[in-house]
Amino acid sequence: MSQDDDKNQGVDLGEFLEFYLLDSQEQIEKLGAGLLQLEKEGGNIGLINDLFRSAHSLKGASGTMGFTPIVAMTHAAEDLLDRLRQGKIDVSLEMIDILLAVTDRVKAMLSQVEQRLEITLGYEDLVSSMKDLISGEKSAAQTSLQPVPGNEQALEDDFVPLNFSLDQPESAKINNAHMMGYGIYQVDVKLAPNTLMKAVRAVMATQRLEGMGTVIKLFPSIEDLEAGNDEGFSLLVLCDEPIEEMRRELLEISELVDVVIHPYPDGIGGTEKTAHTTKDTAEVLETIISELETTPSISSKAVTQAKSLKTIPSQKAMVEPKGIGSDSAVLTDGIANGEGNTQVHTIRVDTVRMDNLINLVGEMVITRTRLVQIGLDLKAQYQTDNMVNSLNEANVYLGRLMNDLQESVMRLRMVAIGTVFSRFPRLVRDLAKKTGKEIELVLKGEDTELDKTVVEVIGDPLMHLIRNSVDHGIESPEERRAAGKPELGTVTLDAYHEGNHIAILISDDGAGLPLDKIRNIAVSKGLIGEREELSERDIANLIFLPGFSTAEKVTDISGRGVGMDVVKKALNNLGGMVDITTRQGLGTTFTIRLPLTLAIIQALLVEVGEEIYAVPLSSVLETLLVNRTDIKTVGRLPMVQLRGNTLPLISLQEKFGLPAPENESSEVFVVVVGFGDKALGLIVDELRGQQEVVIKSLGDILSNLPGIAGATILGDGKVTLILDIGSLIQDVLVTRKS
Amino acid sequence: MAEEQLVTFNLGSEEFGVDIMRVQEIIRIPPITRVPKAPSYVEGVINLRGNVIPVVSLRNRFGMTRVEETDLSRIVVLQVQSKVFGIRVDAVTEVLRIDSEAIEPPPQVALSMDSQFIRGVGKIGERLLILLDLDNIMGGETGHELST
Repeated sequence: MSQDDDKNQGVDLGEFLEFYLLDSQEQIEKLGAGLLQLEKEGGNIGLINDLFRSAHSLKGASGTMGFTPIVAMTHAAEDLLDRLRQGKIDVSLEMIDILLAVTDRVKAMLSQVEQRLEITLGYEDLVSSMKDLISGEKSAAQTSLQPVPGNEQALEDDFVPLNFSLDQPESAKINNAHMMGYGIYQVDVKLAPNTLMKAVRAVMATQRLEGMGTVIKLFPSIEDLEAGNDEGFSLLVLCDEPIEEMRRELLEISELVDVVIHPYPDGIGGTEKTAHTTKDTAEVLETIISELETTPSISSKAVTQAKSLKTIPSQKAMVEPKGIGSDSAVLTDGIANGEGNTQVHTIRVDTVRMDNLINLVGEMVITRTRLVQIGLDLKAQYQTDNMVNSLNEANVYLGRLMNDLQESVMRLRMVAIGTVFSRFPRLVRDLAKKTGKEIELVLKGEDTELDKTVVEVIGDPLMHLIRNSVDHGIESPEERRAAGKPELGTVTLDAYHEGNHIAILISDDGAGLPLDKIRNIAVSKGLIGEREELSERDIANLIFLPGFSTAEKVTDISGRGVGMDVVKKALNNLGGMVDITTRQGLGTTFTIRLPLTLAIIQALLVEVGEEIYAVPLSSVLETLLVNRTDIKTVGRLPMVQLRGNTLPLISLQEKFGLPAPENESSEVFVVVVGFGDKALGLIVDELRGQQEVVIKSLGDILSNLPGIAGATILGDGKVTLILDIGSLIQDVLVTRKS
Repeated sequence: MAEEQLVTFNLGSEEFGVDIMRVQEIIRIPPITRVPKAPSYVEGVINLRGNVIPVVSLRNRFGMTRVEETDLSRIVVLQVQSKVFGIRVDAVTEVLRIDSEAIEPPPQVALSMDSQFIRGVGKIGERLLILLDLDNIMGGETGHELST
């Protein structure tokens, strides 16, 4: 049956695919962030290693899944990064651009994979640009950002790697080691003249080195040594210890007069060389330590051992005058990270399972409400009964437990806002480049937690506000210089908790909003009257009105038809609000306030005919009892006068197609709801009081119904629909205009 | 020999069948909340142990007249791919096995009902079972997701 085939295919791929996608997306994020840091700070071995590892694991995973285009790109990227960490090429703007383009392309490919599509995007262009960079190596004219520490080491010209004539498994080992970043060394040992039993010396040397690493090959072989007249021998060694350590160890063997150790280059017989320094070793250790830490089977003891080893090269680095600061920073960084990893215990949980748990807790809250009601009813009936009292006491305790449980469960869904923030440094970088401005994005409060539901939807509005700050807020470098400000503009993104809300601030140190201009535009567009008295804040907030755009030229950044009104609307939809403060010449700050969760809201229950609807309390302004005779129909719309203003009304009974009641009462309830600066009165039959409700989705099929935002389940188990105030108001406004 | 196991139910005088693997459970009719502006075949939503799921009126889907709820009325809760929804039926009759070869494609002319919801017609002796095509029942949009 074809349906079964579908199912099988889904399971087959799906299970691994999900892990793959999660992991790859994480690696890509890491790569992207790392590249930006690389651009800022120049070559830093720890960072380059991190990048290399991300590219490497991405390549590995994609290879397993058979996504060749991704493998091709990450492979080239890995090569490039490898050259970089060997100091064969410098970090250049061009390189960062290309690598960032690679991350973008891979991201796009991953999203094709996610949608179960074939990867149709090309990769050859990027691969060939990366290859150009590699083949250009150092000779090519590049905009060097900063020298990579260690790349200026003098190369010893007299070292020619020996051809050990390795067999297949041996060269595979070497290649592997190269890929993993282990140290591979050619150890040349010179024996004292007339040494007897040369072969024994070779065996001893091999044994000593085996204690520190792996000896891949000895040349000449034991037999040849025994027979011949060689003055020494050479060993090919995989080793993670510092070169000096190996050397010391070997020199302890008698009759070994000299030991020379060179890193053995990638590709046998190649002429490329890597300078051997303590830094190289440190780098190798970095890699090993991180690998040890990510391999669960290896005991933490090994990690500690590896870490203690690390202090050796770092002490040596201190002796060198060059690059002390950056090097020791790298080392401590690595250690700090390592320790952090071992302490934080996290598990990944499918969001579906978590939602189920939350669902259940929601149900329990509802059931508890019923129990409380039963308790109260019983009390009304049997005032002094002891059992009733115990029941009510138990109910109170249960209530407390439920609150704790609910809070704990909701915390499970809390995600640090940093996950949203992390995509903006790239955005700002690209925008700044495009506009020719110099802008730094400062992130603060990334650890501030908020509900997953909010995190998922906050990205776009934030992006528009940041775009706006970059495009309209920060001035060009010339203007800034003229104003006596540093050429580098700063956009700050900050987040913190404020009671039950999260506040997110987007501030720039730009020119501030041109209030006069805004006022004039608003007047010319008829948004405000010419003589209307407005505070500075009111004027600033005019930019949130629909159809307002002060940009003289429509740029590709903020003039994409998405005005500030859309941003405001999106935030209002989330139950949030946005405010502006601006100071001439000093900058503008947008403040967003959002509820911490979108899963539970306070709602006002209203009755219309025989149906009950929930109105989100956050949009309720007030409730009125209105005499029917006070309702006037203007055009086709009923209106009522409220404190001198006309308030448009809609009848939910008509709107939702309910049968008209048989006998109309002389008075009706009106729930005044506001959305942005618009207000609307909903005519309802009864008010049923307010209640905390858990928002449930109506599913795909019913998701886009006008006027309905979702559903909830009441204490009696019945489903009640939650009104979408935004769309109701929108609807009325459109009707009024047409 | 390939066999299919079906849950059969009545709608007026017709007998229908759905693949048992798609049936999650069969429940009595709980209070149904009407959803304004929803497609006409959606009768409303119900609370299924904390989940809100839509209920499709098969009578509406097949252009039959509405009937009052009886003691035999049931909602058959189905899972089609990842979507869960209920279909309201007049009565659930039995679970039976049918030989795949006894299923014929829907006849082009004879059926008075919309054939896009019908996968085929099964013959068991004198009985004719109309086999539902579940992918199209719910808006006809549920079939695309995994097809690539």
